[in-house]
Amino acid sequence: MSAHSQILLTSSEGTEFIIDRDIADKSMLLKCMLEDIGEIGQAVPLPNVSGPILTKVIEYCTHHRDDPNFLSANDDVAAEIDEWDLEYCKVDQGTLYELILAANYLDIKPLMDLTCKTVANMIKAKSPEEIRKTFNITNDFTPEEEDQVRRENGKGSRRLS
Amino acid sequence: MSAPRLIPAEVIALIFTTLAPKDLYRCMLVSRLWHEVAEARLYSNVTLNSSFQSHDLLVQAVKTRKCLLRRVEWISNNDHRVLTADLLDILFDYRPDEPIDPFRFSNDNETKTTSPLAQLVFPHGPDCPALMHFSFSGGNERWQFLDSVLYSLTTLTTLNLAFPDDGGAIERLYLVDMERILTTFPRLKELSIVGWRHFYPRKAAVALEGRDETTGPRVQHCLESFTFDAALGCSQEPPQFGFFRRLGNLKKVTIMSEYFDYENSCSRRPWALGRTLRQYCPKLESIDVKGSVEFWLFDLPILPSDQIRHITALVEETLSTNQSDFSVDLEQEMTGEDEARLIKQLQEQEVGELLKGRTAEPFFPQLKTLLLGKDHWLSAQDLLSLGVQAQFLTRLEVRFPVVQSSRPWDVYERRAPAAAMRATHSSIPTIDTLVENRRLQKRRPFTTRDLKLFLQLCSSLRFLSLTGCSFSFEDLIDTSTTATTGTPVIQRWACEETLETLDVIFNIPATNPEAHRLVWKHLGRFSRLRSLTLSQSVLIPSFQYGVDGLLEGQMGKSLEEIRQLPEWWKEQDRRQLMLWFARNFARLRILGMKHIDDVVDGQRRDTLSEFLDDEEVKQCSIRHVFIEDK
Repeated sequence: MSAHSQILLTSSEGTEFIIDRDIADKSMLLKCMLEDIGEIGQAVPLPNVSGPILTKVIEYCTHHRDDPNFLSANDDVAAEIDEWDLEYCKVDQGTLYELILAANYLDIKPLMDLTCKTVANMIKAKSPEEIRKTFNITNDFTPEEEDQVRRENGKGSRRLS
Repeated sequence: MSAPRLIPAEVIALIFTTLAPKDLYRCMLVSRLWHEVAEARLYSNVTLNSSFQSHDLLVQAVKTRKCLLRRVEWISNNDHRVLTADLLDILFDYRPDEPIDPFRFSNDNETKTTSPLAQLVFPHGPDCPALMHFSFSGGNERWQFLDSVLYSLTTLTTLNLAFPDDGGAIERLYLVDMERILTTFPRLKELSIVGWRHFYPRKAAVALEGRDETTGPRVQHCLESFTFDAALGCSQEPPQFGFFRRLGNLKKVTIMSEYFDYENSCSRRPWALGRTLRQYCPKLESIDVKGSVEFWLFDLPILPSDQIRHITALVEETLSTNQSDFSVDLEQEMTGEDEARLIKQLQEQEVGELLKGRTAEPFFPQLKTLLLGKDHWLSAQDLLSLGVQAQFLTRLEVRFPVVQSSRPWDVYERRAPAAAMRATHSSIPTIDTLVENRRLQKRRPFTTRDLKLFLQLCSSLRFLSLTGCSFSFEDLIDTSTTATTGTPVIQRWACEETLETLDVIFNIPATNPEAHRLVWKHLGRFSRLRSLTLSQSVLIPSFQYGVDGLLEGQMGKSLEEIRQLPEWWKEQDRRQLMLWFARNFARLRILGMKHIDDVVDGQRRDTLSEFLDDEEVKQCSIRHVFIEDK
């Protein structure tokens, strides 16, 4: 395995991306695949990831390419998000969702943690109405249903998990 | 601009994995979709503990949503009567008319089948098809409850049973029926049975041995990870490892021992477990020994029968006299000449077989990881066999101090270790036992010299951690080359090209700068090393002592972390050294060093902290500099 080998990826539209092997290795999906079948010299199709999103994912992996603790760094849930990452996440919500799905599909845990945490921060300490506003969601409960959910919560099985 | 895109349900589910329950409750009120996803998340992982204040409410809530259960943790405490009834209620809609009193039932295995609770049968199982993980932890109980719940949960993939010592009566032990577990849970991937309050049936094991010969090879179970207490390895005759022959897919074995006093039970058959694993579990990749377990990986060659004739004769003699005198040292019965000849034969045979390597019987062909806790029994012979035969071994961690001994490689233990005595006390000695005792007598703890030989042999290591065992300079040098050239040469390690993490202790006398230079150069040969830890080492990181030898090979491009850099550096060197590290190791991010209190002009000064505030140091590539053990 050469440290400087390159991998060819194709996004859902068929756009080709050439990335260094160590960038590809940030994705557990690609890493395991490359370890299992070796570098066959053919493009790896990623039908679930669009070109713009893949560009964004590669940007993240390239920035973090030399992080020694890439996989363990974000274990601390309460840890502050660093400046670059904060800036990186300043995208519209649609892109953020796509990024979450891509990070999940490609199995890049730190990116997954970062993007989920960004969305989770929009949810935390907000009332249901505020959450609806943030995410443009219509309240589709009937008043009776809402009342019932409220009641069940009021009694609160709060010691779950 | 269009309205923001609606958040997809699968994204919600992913985000909810990072939310705390209190946020999830609020999310349930957002919309029907959010309610559904949040509820599924909340009730997928439930911990039942009757000491929780809201336990009753939880039971009601879980009961109506049991189809969402994926993981249930059942913590049993003094209130277990309530809890057991609740669990039966949740899973099987079974609420007994009167409170269940476990103490009405006997724990005696003979009467177990007749106890009312054991007769509780829920043939259709619980209505929770997604339930895959079940954990139980409980102390002084009558275990029938556990069985009636447990054996209905046939969809499990992970099962954790813990029987911690709660100070209760010693005869109250849970009977683990491995055959039933393997049959009941065909999809089980992970099984953990820990805490010493359990035992394995004896008669069942015997019956199995007999049955097996007639039914031929068994269907292999899919279990991959098995954690058990050393109590399993404590079994007396016959070996209770019969079920292992169904565990051909086992990849990971973890041996716990929470019960420290195994003296009387555990040490009798140290060979049995290793032999069983070797024979039935060819896919084994990882062995993690966490406690005091006598566990042999490898069988030493047995002596041909003509060589054990003197032992056989001795047994007969001993048996005919007094059995309690059996603990006499067998070797003493021989004349000095015989003994010397025997030892020589043994050695030649052993080293020959060990080094012949792969032609011998396969030795855990897939083994990648071996982790050894304190008080294990990895002998020098086991270690060398590993080096020769485990060709995929990538991770070795030995977390106990190796005996520091200057004895040469070719001296066997003169006296049998205590275990041999216990083995012979426990039952009437047979020829077999004596053969095993011969092996036992040959086993000896490994020394750093054995480690040297091992490191010469094992070429696949990527992770090596030998905390507690210290290499002296003599332990490192290549004696034969040194003898011919006259100047000390360090023995090359076979893992120079592969090693990524190294945690060792070097103990090099400060009076010998040349030795330090050679060791730094030796370390410099590890061209892929990413993390270097020199805990407790005496190895001077100074230019006068040749620290620049680290750049001998390619390490400048790979090293990412140095921990526990010894404190033995002169003050004026420090700044220079730090900058040298920063300039020459492009990827170095973490530098951890020992704390030094300096006395300058009779006053204590924390010069290292001052040093860390230095502007030039702050600007270097090293992101984290910290002081260890402060």
